[in-house]
Amino acid sequence: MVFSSILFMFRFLPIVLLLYFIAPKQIRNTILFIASLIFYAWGEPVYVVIMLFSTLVDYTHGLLVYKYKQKGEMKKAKLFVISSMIINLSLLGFFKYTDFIIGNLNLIPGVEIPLLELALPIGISFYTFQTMSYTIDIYRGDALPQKNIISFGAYVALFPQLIAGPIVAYNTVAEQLEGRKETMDDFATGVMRFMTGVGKKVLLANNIGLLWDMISARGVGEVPVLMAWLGITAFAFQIYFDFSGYSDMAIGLGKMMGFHFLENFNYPYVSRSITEFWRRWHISLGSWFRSYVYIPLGGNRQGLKKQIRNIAVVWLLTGIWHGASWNFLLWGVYFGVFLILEKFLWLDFLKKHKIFSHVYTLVIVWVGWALFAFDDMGRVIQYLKAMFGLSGAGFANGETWYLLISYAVMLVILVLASTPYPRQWAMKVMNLLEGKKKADNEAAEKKGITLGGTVSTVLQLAFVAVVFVISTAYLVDATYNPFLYFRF
Amino acid sequence: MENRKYSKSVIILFLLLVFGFTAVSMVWPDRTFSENENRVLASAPEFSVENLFEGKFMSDYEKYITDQFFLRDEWIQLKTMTEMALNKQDINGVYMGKDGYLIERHEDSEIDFEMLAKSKEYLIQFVERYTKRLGKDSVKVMLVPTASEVLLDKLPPFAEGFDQNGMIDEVYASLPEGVAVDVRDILKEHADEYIYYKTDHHWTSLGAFYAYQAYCEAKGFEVPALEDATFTEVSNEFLGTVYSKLNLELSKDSMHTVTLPNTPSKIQMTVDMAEKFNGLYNDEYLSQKDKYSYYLDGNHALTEIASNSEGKGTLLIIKDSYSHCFAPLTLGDYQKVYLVDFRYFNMPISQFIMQYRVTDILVLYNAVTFATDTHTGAFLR
Repeated sequence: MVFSSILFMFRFLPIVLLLYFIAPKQIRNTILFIASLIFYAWGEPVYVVIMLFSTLVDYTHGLLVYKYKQKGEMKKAKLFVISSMIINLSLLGFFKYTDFIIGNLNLIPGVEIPLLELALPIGISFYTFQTMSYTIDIYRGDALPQKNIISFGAYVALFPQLIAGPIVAYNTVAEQLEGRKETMDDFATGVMRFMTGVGKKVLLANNIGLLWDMISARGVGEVPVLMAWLGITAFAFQIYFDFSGYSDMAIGLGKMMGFHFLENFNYPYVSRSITEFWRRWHISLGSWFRSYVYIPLGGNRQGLKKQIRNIAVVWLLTGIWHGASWNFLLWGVYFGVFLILEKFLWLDFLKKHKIFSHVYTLVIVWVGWALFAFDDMGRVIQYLKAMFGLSGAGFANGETWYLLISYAVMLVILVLASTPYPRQWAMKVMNLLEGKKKADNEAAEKKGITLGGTVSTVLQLAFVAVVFVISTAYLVDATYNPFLYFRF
Repeated sequence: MENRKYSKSVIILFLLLVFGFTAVSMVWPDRTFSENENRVLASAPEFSVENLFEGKFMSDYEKYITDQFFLRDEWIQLKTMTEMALNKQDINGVYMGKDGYLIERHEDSEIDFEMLAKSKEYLIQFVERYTKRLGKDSVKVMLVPTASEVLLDKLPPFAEGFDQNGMIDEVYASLPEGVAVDVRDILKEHADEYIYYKTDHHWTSLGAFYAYQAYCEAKGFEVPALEDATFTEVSNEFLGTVYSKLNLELSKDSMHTVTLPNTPSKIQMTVDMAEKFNGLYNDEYLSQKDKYSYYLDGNHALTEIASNSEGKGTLLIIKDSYSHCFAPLTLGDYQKVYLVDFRYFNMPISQFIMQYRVTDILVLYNAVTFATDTHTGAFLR
């Protein structure tokens, strides 16, 4: 099931919320767990077993690791951490990477291994990473084991973040699993967040995604330079608003039920370096690799050579995490290279040149999206050629202008929506209307609460209601509503 | 305290929108058919263990509640209005043209160019074969461009799609001299008149009349003047197929019948060798959504028109629905007129031509139907 559907918004969600809030506190995790299983099984009626298996494995491993750790038998504890990692990575490897490896082996003359052609269980890359983090956290002493298997199951299967993240590290929600408090304020903030997320996905991402689909479907030599850039811009906005929209929905839904997930996106396209971009893009993945790969490998503390090696390892893995094919691997390496170069060569230069650094970042990220968008390297190269005027289709044609006019309003909205300015402007306007002091608002922002005056309440509610109602209209007539993370 | 008020308002909004919509959609009665979308809507799926494990039950259920969501047509309208507000130049494959014209956009991606090349070949062979058999000038081909290639002034800037003109040029160039009846110039000449519907993909009776003038010229018949034709409005409530793609009423169309001085007074029409009509029209359709089927009772494999005409010979029109308001104009010129639609017609056309003593043949398609038709193999049967 996906959030952005009539099914989720007008059947699943209201029913689950109703049951959840009617139920006494003790059984809320049970309800959440069962609801999450139904949510998952709706689209993956068979693969839900794999998720349950992964849950069971780490539940027992967690307990064992803790037991031996208490006894001081660190070697045995470590053994179980390794065992957990082997099982999880084998699951992930088997379903996600086997065909990729076979496909490449088959390139060797004489080798002909049949492909498995298994469908990838949705969300497997997200939940295996979460379960691994759990066992490792216990070993490190960052978390205590969860004795209640239902609560642990609820953590792994938690439907808000199950299929598209954010990746919730166990230690960030351990306490909330048992002692969370659902409040009216949290519920309200969660609602606003969820509805905004729906709008991002349905109104912004799906709409501009159509443009990308149209342009990327064109044949070789039929894409002039300007159209190629228009296309990749469309893709860049599609993936950002789709992904961050999902994160907003997840964070919002979590909040409605008393969970506080960490932020996953922070206006990545305003970045002034690739380093900054990756601090603002898919933050939960970055921090996962940081705490469970980069730092255990020694991070930056064991000399330059090792640090470069560590960065390289992390970015190879980041690339291949996004999908089992060469373009994703290359995409990871591509960013790894820029991160290393920035770190040792030109980060300071970028800091001093404001406009240049924005352009530089966007161009690199945009070219990166061309790598990311096609899993066929031949098409990647064709598209890059088109972007840099090597496809012989000229600079622009009538169709280019037509599409540009047709999507001009949308593009302006997208550009604005990917910066923090509209939010700031809205705050300013509301301040003026209500005659409030800036300091009050900043304090309110920091506390995570929103301005509560009548005017601002009405304006905010009206805005979100309009967004949500129009999103519903788009879902009723859903000719185009893709799920982009089936490869993750 | 202020925050509390804010939270309460948000929660009320949430209850209204999410729980309210859910409740209404659950009690809203199901519909089987959507006239606007011209399709059967999904109905409640049957539950079985097998369906459950294959995931079919779930996907069918999702289709079902989405199709049966309350006020479906109004939601689609809201979507169209949003797209208009965003200044999209085309919505759902429809150009938002000037003067309330909704014009279908056809893209190369809709066309199977291999099939088109074959169709062209079949048509050429067909024309050569029957020109030999029936005599010079007895076989004519008329490919009519759709509105997007004629009403150029009404299109948004830079709009271009599948090159119908290029295709028509190519087909005409490979036909023997004198076979093609090129109606493009005469239609363009009258592009500021009401020759295409604003909400439907067909040409109007007026458009067909101009094409008939070109046909008469090609056949050496006397060309009727516009003043000689009597146009009678039969409906001004027509919302056609292009409207249905948007579900938003920007304008309505009026439909006309045309009679010429030589139009016979007694006409009998038989469709599919079974149902008989006095005259060419089926009034029942005028009170329905699909009003265009008023002409010749819509699409049939075979339509036979007999009359007390003073014309000679038997005309066979191999056609799509563009012919439905063209055929009435030809009745004065022939004893009998047959219309054959290859999408539904099973008899070999060679046999038909012999058996029914066909003397003249007109192949009449709109350019897009011809380019996308997969039944053209029937030309050679």
